[in-house]
Amino acid sequence: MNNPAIGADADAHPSRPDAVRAPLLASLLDTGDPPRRRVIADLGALQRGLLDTISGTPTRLLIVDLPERRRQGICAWEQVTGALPGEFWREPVDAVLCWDLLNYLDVERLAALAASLRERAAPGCRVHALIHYSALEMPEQPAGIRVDTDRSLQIPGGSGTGFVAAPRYSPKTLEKAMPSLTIDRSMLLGNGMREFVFKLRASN
Amino acid sequence: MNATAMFNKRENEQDSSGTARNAATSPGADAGGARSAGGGKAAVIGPTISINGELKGQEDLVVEGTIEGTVELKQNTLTIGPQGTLKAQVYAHTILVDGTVDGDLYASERISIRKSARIEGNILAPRISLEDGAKFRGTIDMDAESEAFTRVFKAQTASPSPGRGSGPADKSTDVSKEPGPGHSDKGLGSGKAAGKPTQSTA
Repeated sequence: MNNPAIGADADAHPSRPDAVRAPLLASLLDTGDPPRRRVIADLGALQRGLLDTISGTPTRLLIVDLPERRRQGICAWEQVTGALPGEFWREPVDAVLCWDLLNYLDVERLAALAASLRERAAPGCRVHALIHYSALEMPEQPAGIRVDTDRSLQIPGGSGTGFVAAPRYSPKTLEKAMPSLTIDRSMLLGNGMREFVFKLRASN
Repeated sequence: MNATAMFNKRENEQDSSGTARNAATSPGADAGGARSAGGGKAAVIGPTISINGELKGQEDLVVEGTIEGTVELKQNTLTIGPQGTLKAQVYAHTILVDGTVDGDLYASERISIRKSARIEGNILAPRISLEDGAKFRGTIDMDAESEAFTRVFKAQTASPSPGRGSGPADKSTDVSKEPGPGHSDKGLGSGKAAGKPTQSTA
């Protein structure tokens, strides 16, 4: 049984797919005027909405699809950083899309992932993530969040799968777990998830 | 013999370098052709056919078999059917993927990824369409002004090869001397395909 969200409206019920505005993601996907060339790494699966969004822009999209690699047994969450595809990752990335994957990593794996991303990041790189913040539970597998062409998010409710306790990482916990990143912006979304944009912490 | 698996050895024998010229059946033979995405006839490499080397031509092609190496159909449509498996660098006008690809896909016009597609590599085309359910891992580049795109396709139109368009039997066509996709462009060229590099830089 799924717990209702705490401190969020009824739309936060995770069994109901909803369109959710994600202003920070929308901003991150802006290429600027005039459009500038950039590289985006998507840790999730290839999706049509994102393709449509970057179509016609000088963007290179790197698809990692960590959930699929885990399903295939290629890597467990514990080995997530080893699954980052070095053979494709030849250009430093300007933005990383984590979707809801950080919820499925413990603090040690968060640190490892952040360190690994840092090695591959261009100066000014931003990392986007969605954290289950209000709800006590989340789907036991990443939800397969999709972005629409209007840059709103379609968040499946995890129907057909079970639910597990959400770690409900606080901003402070995330910054502590990922010392190479610092929170640039954060926003509570209409479905009770929290949207984060991290930036690289200046190196010593 | 399965009509879709026909392979005309007299017209399509491989040269000593392993290049299969005009390798598939002629679309002129009704039994050997298939419908391309554009509705016209396309040559077919049937599911029992396996090619290792360099394949090039000037007609649409449907692959249901296996190709390892390089495929060049820069003016035409390549369809990788549900049974098709490519471990190759592919250069075509349009590429439609239903099957499995381990390598890089370059299209001057469009790449369409169907739901049954399984692709690992890099793809570059001005337009890319995707059906839900397809599996992909690698990079996608839709920048027609990118260095890689220019090298693969625009340099070709600027200085066409002497053999370009001279017919399928013209063995003087040597694409290895054309400006091509190369493998030095940053980020593109996974080096995963088995075919030997055939392109020099522009």
